[in-house]
Amino acid sequence: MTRRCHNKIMNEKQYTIMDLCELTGYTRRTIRYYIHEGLLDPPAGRGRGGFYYDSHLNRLLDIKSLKDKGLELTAILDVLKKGPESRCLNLNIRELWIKYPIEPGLEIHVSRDLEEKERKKIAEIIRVAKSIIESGGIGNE
Amino acid sequence: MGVSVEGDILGRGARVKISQRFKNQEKNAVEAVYKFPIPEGAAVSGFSADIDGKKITGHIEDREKAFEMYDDALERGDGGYLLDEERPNIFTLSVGNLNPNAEVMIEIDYVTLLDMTGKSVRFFLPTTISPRYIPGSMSKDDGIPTTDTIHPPYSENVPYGLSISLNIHKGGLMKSIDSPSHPIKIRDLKGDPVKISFSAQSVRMDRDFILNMEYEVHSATRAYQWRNEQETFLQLDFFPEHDPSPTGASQTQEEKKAEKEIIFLLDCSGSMRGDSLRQAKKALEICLRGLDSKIAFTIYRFGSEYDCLFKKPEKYSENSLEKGLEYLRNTDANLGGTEILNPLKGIYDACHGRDNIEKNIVLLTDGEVGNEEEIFEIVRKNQKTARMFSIGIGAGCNEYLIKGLARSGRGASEFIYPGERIEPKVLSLFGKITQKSLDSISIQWGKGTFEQSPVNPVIFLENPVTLFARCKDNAFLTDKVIVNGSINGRKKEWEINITESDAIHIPVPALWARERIRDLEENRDIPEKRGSRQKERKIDTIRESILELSRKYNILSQATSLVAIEEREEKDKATGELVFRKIPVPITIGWGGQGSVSGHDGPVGNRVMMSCSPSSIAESGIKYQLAMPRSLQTKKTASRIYNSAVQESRCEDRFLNFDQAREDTKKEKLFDILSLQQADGGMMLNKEITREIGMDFDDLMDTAQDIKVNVEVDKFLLLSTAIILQILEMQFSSEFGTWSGIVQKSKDWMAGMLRDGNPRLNGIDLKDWAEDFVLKNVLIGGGK
Repeated sequence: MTRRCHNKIMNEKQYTIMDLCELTGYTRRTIRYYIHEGLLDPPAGRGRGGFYYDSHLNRLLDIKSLKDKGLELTAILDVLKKGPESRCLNLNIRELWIKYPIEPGLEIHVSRDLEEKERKKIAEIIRVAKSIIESGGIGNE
Repeated sequence: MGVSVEGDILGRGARVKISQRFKNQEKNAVEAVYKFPIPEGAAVSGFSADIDGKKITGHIEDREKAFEMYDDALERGDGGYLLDEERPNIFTLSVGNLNPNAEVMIEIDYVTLLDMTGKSVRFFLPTTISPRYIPGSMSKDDGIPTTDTIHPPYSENVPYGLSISLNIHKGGLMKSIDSPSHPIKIRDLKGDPVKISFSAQSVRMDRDFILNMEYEVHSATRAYQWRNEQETFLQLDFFPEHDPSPTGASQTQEEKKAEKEIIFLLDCSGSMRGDSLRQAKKALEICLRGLDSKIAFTIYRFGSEYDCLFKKPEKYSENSLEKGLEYLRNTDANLGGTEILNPLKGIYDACHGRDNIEKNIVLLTDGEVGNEEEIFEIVRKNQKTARMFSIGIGAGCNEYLIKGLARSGRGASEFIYPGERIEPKVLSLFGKITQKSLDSISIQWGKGTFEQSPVNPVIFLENPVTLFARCKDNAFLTDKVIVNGSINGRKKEWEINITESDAIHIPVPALWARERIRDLEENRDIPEKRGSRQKERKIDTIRESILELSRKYNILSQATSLVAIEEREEKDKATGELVFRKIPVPITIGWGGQGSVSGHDGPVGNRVMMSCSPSSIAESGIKYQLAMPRSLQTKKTASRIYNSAVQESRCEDRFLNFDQAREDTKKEKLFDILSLQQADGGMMLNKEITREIGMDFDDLMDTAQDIKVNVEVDKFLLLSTAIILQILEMQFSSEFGTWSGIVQKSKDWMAGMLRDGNPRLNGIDLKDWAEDFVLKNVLIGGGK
């Protein structure tokens, strides 16, 4: 059962390690491992049984997201240490997106990592989107 | 003492207790994590922590549940002790909340079967986890990289060592004991038990410990029954002997004519540099020289990349042999990582289109990879394409990979420790490559339902194998186990009487459960996959079965852990900061060319295995003496090591010592004789060997000229071959398993000569003359 407390002074949510497991899908073993390896800060408070905050949760979700994108843990640690700018930079290196301007102020971004079949499908969607806009279909409604 | 091992060796099995002592010399409470190896087939069933005389016993739990219990204990400030199986041969021990100055003794118990070949039994205690190559494609779903799961941190100097105390029971039937890895002391050589320890009080844990025991007689076929209150188990020790009678299951003409291919696969990755590659090349050269003209061969070598000698295996000839030897001479351990999968895929792809030819892969490697399961899967899928024979090389090779490959590829495995004689190992493996394993095996354990483990054993003639069965639903036991099988198309039946096992026997339920879990873990009885959902359901079912077996028989598996919780009084609870420490281990001697077993060994101090602060480890680290042990100062054979060990032990029984030396001399002569074989199969005596086996070279030269033969042939070669084949049959019959495979081409060569040339000497058939001559003139090693 999820147990979520509220710190009245800081007005910040506190989580137990089991909450983090539930919210991230990681096992308790993995979360401890990330703490030992310096990827995640230790819990706040005394000892191992302290509490975790949103910053811990977000860090774990970041790790998960970077891992899902294929980054090794050492690279993830590097990215996380360097902060959000580095993360954008690194992600941009790994992921290439193609930009399709539709209308002034409207763009569709398509990942270049897509399979040929999927890319063709999206190209068709863009074509249809353009033709609808060109015909003034949406604006007339 | 850091790590001490006590064990009882009982025939084919051993019961072992590993004790690891931890002491916290830091100011804070510590959580220490230590990774260590255990033999891959061991059933780990006991786990306890002794804290100031208070013993806490561990129990089996689901792996993640066990971690949560451990973690909860640490959160509360209690003591937590956790043992996880990362691989069947790599374990992680976590010792939690060890207060400053506190000490804990961890005890781990396991039972295991020992490797047997012919009359030899090998006790193996791994002490090192060598750095393993993990291919870039490997990922784990739980978010922890594989490399951190299986690798400890490494350090040149660690402040703990290993001591050992072994009891060999019923040692009276034993002929010799030796250790190629360590100088040992042997006490009460004729007593029961025979006691074994290291010559030094404690040794550095940078090489596996090997103890070879040779018995007077071959392992017998027998069946035991083990009962407890609820269940009955059977253990069958099976040794199908070679039947030399004309109706026996020897090779048929069709079998002899069958085309065979041997594809040698040599690991040239960086970890093989030094001792390991030298030994592997030597072993491969011995293999090549012993090949038969009916066998086609090629050599692949691999690291990060791979290449091969011949794309398609070529028939064995003087020319192809020379090309092979040249290829070997130009081979070095400079090919980078250990990417075994790609050459294997290449080999299997190249095998297509030659379905009528029996194909065998011989892999020579230290096995230092972390993707064992991936490799097993491809070998399992192709087990009908080619059989897999694996040779493990080095002082700390990956036993799980080597044996798992043989199981997956329905072949066999051998291990060559640095300094051990390569010839008997290679010949023993060749004895299996040149025969087909027993087909259509069915075992009647009794009337009713039995769960046999392993489910699909691979059985070779002249090789012992142990099988287990659990009686299900009160199955009715008879007084016999009946084994049916066929050898080279001939059916054969064995009847083995069942006896009650004695009290000191290794517990059969644990061994059965371990084998059963392995069958399940290696998915060997999963039917062909039909769909991913079906596959998932099957995997869930297998996991449930493993959990059930693991809990019921208290055996550790990869799905479970052993956990012990020490509930503390409030005043003893750890409340401050908990410091996390990984215990460093020494790197395997000889790994990647670093050091050599023959040049680096020495005693270490009697220290606890951890002193928690890294700085204190460095400060207290002992400068290991680099003095070589006496038995390793020169390249000695096992027998010499044995002799030095016996002398150190102040053994009173000199007769046994003499007998052993004589037997070793006889074996040396066998290998000398086998080295006379030429590429075409003829065996040419030389002056040295002729003298060694008590014959006169010049007399034989003269005698050979009297041979009358109808074909063009070197008469001395003909006479030499006839005599040597008789010597092998008459003087080395007990070593048949060692030489039979390799000598087949000489037998074929001789058979051709007898058929086409009808050679006669002094008016009688040359074969009969040679038999009479050997009977009257040759006696090797006391005529055994």
